[in-house]
Amino acid sequence: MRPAPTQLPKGARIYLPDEAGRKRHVEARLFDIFGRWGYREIVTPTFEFFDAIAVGTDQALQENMFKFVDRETGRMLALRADITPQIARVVATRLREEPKPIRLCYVTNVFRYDEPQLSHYREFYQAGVELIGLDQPEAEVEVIAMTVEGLRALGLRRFQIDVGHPDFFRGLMEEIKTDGAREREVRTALARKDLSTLERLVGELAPPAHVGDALLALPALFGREEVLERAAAFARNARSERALAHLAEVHRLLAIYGLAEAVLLDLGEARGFDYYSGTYFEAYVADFGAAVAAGGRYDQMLGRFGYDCPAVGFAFDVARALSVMEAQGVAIELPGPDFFIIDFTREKTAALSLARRLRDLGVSVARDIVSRGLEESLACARAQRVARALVVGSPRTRAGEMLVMDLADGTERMLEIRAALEAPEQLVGAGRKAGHA
Amino acid sequence: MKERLTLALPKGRLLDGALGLLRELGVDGVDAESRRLIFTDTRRGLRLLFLKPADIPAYVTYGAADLGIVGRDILLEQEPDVYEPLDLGFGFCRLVVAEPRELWERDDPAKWSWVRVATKYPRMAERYFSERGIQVEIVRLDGSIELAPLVGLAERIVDLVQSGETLRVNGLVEVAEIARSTARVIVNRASMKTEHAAVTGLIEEMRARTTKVGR
Repeated sequence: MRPAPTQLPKGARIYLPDEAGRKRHVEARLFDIFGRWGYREIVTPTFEFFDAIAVGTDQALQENMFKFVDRETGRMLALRADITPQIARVVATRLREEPKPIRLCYVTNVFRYDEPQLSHYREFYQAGVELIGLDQPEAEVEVIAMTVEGLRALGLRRFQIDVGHPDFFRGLMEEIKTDGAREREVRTALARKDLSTLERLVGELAPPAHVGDALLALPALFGREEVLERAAAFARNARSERALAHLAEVHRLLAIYGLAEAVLLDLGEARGFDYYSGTYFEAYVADFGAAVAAGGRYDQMLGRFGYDCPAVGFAFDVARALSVMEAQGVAIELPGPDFFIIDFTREKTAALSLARRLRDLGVSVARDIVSRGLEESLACARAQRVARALVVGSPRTRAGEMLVMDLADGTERMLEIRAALEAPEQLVGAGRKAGHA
Repeated sequence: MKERLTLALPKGRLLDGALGLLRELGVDGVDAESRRLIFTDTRRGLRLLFLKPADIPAYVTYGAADLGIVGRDILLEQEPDVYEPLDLGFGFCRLVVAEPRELWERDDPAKWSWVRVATKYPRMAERYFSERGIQVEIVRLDGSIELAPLVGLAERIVDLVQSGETLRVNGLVEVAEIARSTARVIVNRASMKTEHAAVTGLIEEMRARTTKVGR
């Protein structure tokens, strides 16, 4: 059977005007925050040579890339599946002489052959930043603070930033000296906080007693500041100790930023990309089962492109942010045009000059154009959430006059067209403009 | 803090064990005989949903329930992105490959290169056979799997067994074990973070009861 012409490939998604308006709102709010923290936008190619894109990504992600062949060179191309390695490469090759730190931000689409899941599509949108050239814990704290600011700017409540450090776990595994397959099994069990499987694996691996105790304690090593103290008892190798010390410093700084309450420390969180080398965090919002934003430190990433330089970053998942806003009942105002001009005269000169004068003032103006009765035109304007209709040349208006109708409160008045053209500001007035800004 | 936590309970073979555990925790006001699908426990303020076991991972993944009780067989089959912090110990059963006795008498599983199996667990069956280099054709069924070999729909089945009685009365013999299952507590990833105190509190209470019963 031929697919219906309306059918989209799996994981593709259309944003109709109202949905696109909400999406743009989220992106604009986040982008605005990035700008206010001093981040500058960077744009990278949607597709690149696969070999180049593969350098900074782990294998699981490489397998999930959309790939195709370059007609000119016959080489494999891939769609961007993660922007961070692209930015890391650009910094390593083109911006390495710039004074540090470098603050970059983006709003972009990303493509992955993931199974579509909770508000997650194969083409999805991310808004995020990279902060490059700082190894101080304050870098993590800056991006965590920005994440919190983003969650608040989107009107979200009841959120938690889950902060962990993969080196605590890596240090423990180094003490065991096990093979990669076994380590993955332990990590999978840990990622699911699956204590019974973890017990079985620890039994089979027979690690030193303090490491076994630590692995079994990991699923419960999350909570407030006291976690650091509990974890200290298990940290007997340099790597785990360093991870704890770093995390303690991040936590101390977060408290100074006034964010201690928003943060949950989680040493048992073994998720995230392999490229995270230090602090790793995810933002969770009540009523929604997946992380809305995530980020962390990836000090080895730029080194893969020949330039050793520490970096941190984070990104919001725009579609998930939209879903969670809906779940929490956050309203997004989507105003229609400020003015809708309905001109019944043949010449339409009034409509054209009014529209131009008003647009020059920075307000939005749509014209009716379709010939139909006034009521039908007004119904159309209301459906588009127009604030005011300007009616010229209808049976209700005299020559040289127009009717100004406020569609929100139903009031109307007559106005000389010439007066309106001379001083169009009087049409804009108060009220609507304020709500629109 | 949320008003109350929502816990999804599986109708069917795990329900008695789950309700027994909840009674021990002082949960009240549940009438399992009723056709109602949602209850609010007045004593602890838990909201309880009664669902088909296979639907529980979806409810918990999407956050419609904060926690759920579900068999590990279903978790292995669906691999939902949830936490799985507690093995409740009850509802033990095994996922096995079985075939009719007359086939079994002349069959050598070591020589299998292609098999056709009827099952409710297509992903686990697929994984089990392909890991052994055996090609498999899956006939996906939703119930009465034991019937399939008797009417020639598939030579073999992959299904859950508890006592083995159902296999026996249908003339089937177990050939291989794929996995073992007990009831598990699963938790929505966001609930674990945003309702951290309430969720971990409830899990610890369940854990205390579970070890006390002594499996």
